[in-house]
Parts: sequence; C-alpha cells; structure tokens
Amino acid sequence: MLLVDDEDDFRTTLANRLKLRKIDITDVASGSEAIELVRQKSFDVAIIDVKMPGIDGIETLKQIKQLQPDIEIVMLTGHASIESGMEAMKLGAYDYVMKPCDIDELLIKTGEAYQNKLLKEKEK
Amino acid sequence: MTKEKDLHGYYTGLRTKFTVIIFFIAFIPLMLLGGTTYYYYSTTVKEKIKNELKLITKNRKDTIDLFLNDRANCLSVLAYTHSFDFLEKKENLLNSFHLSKRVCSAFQDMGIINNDGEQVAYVGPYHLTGKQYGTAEWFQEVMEKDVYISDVFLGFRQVPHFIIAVKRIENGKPWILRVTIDINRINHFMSTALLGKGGSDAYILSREGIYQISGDDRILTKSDFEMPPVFQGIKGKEKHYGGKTVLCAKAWLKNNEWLMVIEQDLEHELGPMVHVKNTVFLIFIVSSLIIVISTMLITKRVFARLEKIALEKLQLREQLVRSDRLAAIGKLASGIAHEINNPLAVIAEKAGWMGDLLTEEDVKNSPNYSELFKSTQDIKKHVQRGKKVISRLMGFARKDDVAQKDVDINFVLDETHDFLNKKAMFKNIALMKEFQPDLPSIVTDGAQLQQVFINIVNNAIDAINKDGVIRLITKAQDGGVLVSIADTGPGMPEKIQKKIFDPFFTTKAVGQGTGLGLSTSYSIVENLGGRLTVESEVGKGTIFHITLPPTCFQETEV
Repeated sequence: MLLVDDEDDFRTTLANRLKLRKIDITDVASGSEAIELVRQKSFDVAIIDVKMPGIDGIETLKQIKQLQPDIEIVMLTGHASIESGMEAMKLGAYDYVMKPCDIDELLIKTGEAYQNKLLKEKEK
Repeated sequence: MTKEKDLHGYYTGLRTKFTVIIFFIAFIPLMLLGGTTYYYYSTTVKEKIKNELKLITKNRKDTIDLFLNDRANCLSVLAYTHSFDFLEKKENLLNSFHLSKRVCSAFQDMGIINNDGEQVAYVGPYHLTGKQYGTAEWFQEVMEKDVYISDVFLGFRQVPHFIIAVKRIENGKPWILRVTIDINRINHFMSTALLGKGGSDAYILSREGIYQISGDDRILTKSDFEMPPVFQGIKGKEKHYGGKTVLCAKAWLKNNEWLMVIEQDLEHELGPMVHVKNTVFLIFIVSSLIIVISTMLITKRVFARLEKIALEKLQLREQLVRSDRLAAIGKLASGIAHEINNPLAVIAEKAGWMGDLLTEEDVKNSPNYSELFKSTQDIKKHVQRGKKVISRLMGFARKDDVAQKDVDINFVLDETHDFLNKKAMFKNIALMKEFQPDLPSIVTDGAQLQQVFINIVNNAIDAINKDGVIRLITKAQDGGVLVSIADTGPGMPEKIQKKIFDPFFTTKAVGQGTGLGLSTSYSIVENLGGRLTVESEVGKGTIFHITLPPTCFQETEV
C-alpha cells in the first residue's frame, strides 16, 4: 500500500499505525515521489491527501491511475467537505475519507477498496 | 427600518408636492377658460340687450314724433278748409270731428275758441261750451305760435290730458281750433316698447321733470330723474339703484320738450345667463373632481411603484453589503478551518498511535495504563469535537457560494448512483434507478443535494449490510420534485425513527459513524426549503422522502 501526504508528522504516525495493523505500507511526502515509486513498483491501494504543495492529490491520482489502472485509491480530504472527495471519485478514486480520520474508518474503506481490486482481478 | 421609514416619508412628501403642482397646472387653465368664456358671453349678451333697447327707444321716439306732427297737420287742414262761421255751428263741428277722427285716431274732443278765449263750440264727452280760456297758458302760446302742442295738464275737466291747438286768422280776426289727445294711446305705444315681462319701465318727462305719460298714477307728479341737457338721437346708460343694475335709454322728442325714458332691469333680462352660469359652474365642479380623483389615483400609483423600486434598491444594496461581508467571513472561516484541520489530524493520529502503543504487553502492566488509555480516548473525542466545529465553519463558509442554478435532479442522482454503485455491488446490493424522465428542473444547489443523497444512500447500504435492493425514485410533484430512496434493510421501530434526525444519534457501532449524517442532511434540506421525512417498517425496509419545491435554495440570513 502507498500513503501520500505532505504533513510529515501525520504521515509517519499513520504509517506506523497501519504497519502495527500488519499492513505493508510505503509512505512518501509528495505527488512526484509517489508517481516515481508507482513507475518502479505496483501497489494494491494508495491513500492520497488532496491538498499538497507541488503536484496536488487530484493530479497525483490521475497520473498514478494512468501508470497503473488497476490500483484502487482512497482520498484524504482536509477540506472537511465532500466536494473534492466527489471530484476525486469522478476521476476514479474508490472512496474518500475526511481528515482528521478515524483509523477504523480508514481501514474499512481501504479494506473495501482492496476487496474490490481482488474482485476485479477475479472477473478477469 | 428607520431607513425604510425615511424613504416612505420622503416619497409621501414628494407625492403631496406633485399632487398639488399637477392640481394647479390643471386648475389654472380650467379656471381661465371658464372665467373668460362666462365673461365674454355675458358681456355679449348685455351689449345685445343694450342695442335692442336703443333700437326700440329710437323706434318709439320716431313714432310719437310722427304721431304728434300728423295730428297737428290734420288739425291745420281742418282749420284752413273751414270757416269760423261754419264750424261755430255745433252740427258742423260734430261732422268735422267725426270725419277727422276717421283719419286721425286718438282725438278725444274738439272745440272752437274765439279771439277772446271763449269756447264758442265744443263736441266731446265733457260740458265745456262757453268756458273761458283767455288766461290759460296754452291760449297765450297758440296766439303767439299758430300751432301748439301742450304739456299734460288737468284743465276744467280735472283729468290729465294734453291738447293740440291751431290758430287761423280769418278777416283779420284770429280763432282757434283745439283737440284733446287720448294719452292712453301714447301710453300704449310706450308699453309695447318694454322688452321683458317684468322689471322694466317706460315714461315721458317734461323738461321740468314732471311725468307726462306713464303706465300708472305718477302723471303730473315731479320725478327725481336727473334731467339731461338736450341731445340728438338716443343715449344708453347703465344705472345702479337699490342693488339693481338697470339699463336706461333716453331720447328727446316733441321739439326737445319731452324726454322719453325706457328702463330695463338687467338682471331680469339676464335671467337665462344664470342657467349658463350654473352650467359653467357644474362643468367646472365635475372637471375639478375628475382632476382631483385622477391626480390622486395616478400619483398614488406612480409613487407606490417608485417607492417600491427605491425600497427594493435599498434592500438590494443592503443585501449586497451583507453578502459581501458574509463572503469575507466565509473566506476567513475556511482559511482558519484549513489551518486548524491539519494540526488536528496530526494530533488525532498521534493520540491514536499512543493508544496503539499502549496495547503493547509491557505498558499494559503499568499501573497508569488505564489513565493513559483514557487520555488518548479523550484526545480523540475532543479532536472529533474540533472537527465538528470546523465542519460547521466550513458549512457556513460554503453557504455564500450557494450556487442557485437550474438543477436536473435525475442527473444529480445519476452521479450519486455512479459514486456508490461500486460500494453497493461489493456488498451485493442492487442500486436501481427509477426516474421519471421529463422531470422539471429545480433552482437549487446541486452539490448540497448530492451530499444529502450520498448520506442517505450510504446509510441504506450500511443498513442492508449485504444482499438487498436500494431504489432511487424521482417523481414530479406540485411543480417540484419528490425524491424517494427506498431500501430493503431491516427497517426501524417508531422509537428510533423519531430520533434519527437528532444530531449524534447513531445505530452504528462506536467508531463507525458520527451520528451527524442524517441531521446534517435534514438541516440542508430544510435550509434549501424542502422537507426530509422517513417511513419505515421493521423487517421490510426504510424509505426516505425528500420533497423539493420548484425554487429551492436557502436565504442568506445574519
């Protein structure tokens, strides 16, 4: 799994918590790093923050989807609103979670996203 | 409020001013027209009456002059064609009297007077034979002038009359033929001169101002009429006495010895003018009324409209200022929300991480474990509180950007369907669209409605959990739209139905939901002017109804 967020404290802590829950997670601090990483390696699910300096979450989502179409993406929105989340969903994200997020909610949604990916692979 | 009152006062004042101005502008020409018309008309009528009076007076003067001359000539012919001796005989005089009466009417009696002034022969109704006239004024006059017409006098008969006398000298001896004229005959001429039925008078005065001829018993009394000097022709004059206006025409006759006066009461003659006056006055009153009423109605309408426009302008300006201020507050709020939201997320994660670490074996045995764990839970709880505050702030900030657009509800639900279909499919839930195709579009904020639909459908998916059907139904209703979202979930007892729109009420396990979804949806729909209701039966499922009127957006209020 891939976690993309520019806020270091938030990202490392969340990554630690997910690792504690036996999830294989790689964390990067920017959209460009994430795109670079996806070029080298494939991921099942990516969690991407919408608001980031440089390449923002929506742009990252588009490029990652282009590189690896079967990747499922859950967006993190800091807007406390659903507009950006919905925009991301229109662009192919599986779901969105509002910040500050509950770890369980995030786990449920990423779990669903992963299941969905497996389902799609099975259909193939 | 005071601004509106000021505005009302200003327009009321202006309206009064306009009403008065229009009033006068309409009134002045009306008054001028009415006044001049009446003045010229009455002057013309008066002039006409005056001319008519003058004409009649001239006519009467000529007639009477002619009459007197004619009678004098007639007498002269009689005197010069018969001798004194012939006429001295009573039967001859009677014959001549009757003969001349045929030609010259108005002869009352006839007599022959000798050189000494004794009436030697007389025919007529009185016994005047042998009367001595030697001292009479008229006898002196005729002896001098040959032909004489006297003023009116009483004489022996003690009845007002006047005479015409002719002197003839026969064989060197003068004698006189004399006739009496019936003054009623002249009076008759005079009275036919009167124009109207009443208010008029006609009489003849001697040079001394003594009544000679008149319709009543004023004869031989002294008049207070101011005698004018002798003039030729006719003179007209307007006289006022006793509050009356009298038109008066005068003419000298009988060799300027008698003054004929004809008087006409002007007001009596102008009687028909009262009718004209009343008509003009009535037209004036009616026109004034029409002017007053129409002026008031028109100004009232115009000013009501003007005031309404001004008020709307004022309100619009206030609204603009208000929404400007709101936009500024909104910007500030969303800025703050963004800045606080990120640290809040970090705090939540750190607390979560601390909580995670506390579950490690060695820490769990620490005596302070429970306190520490409770602290992390408290931090999480308060972060959630902060999140709600920010959420509300953001919600408020967004209120200004409420897009009021024509929204196709079917299109919005299509999007909802697309967003959630994957999730539903994953749980083996069929998300079905049952749309009415030609749905009227609604003026509202599509994004906010989308949030409501997603909330409700998400709830439905969670309620069903696995295997079921969710139907998205749209229907035109009263020009608006009714959206129904029906699920085949477990349904809810009435007790829960009553509470589902309360904030923080949730049936989900702790940590699974905030309990805000439906209450937020409810307040969004209410704010937009619609209604959100629920219908549910345990074991069968739940239907949410969203009623949206044709125009469906929130009014900005502060």
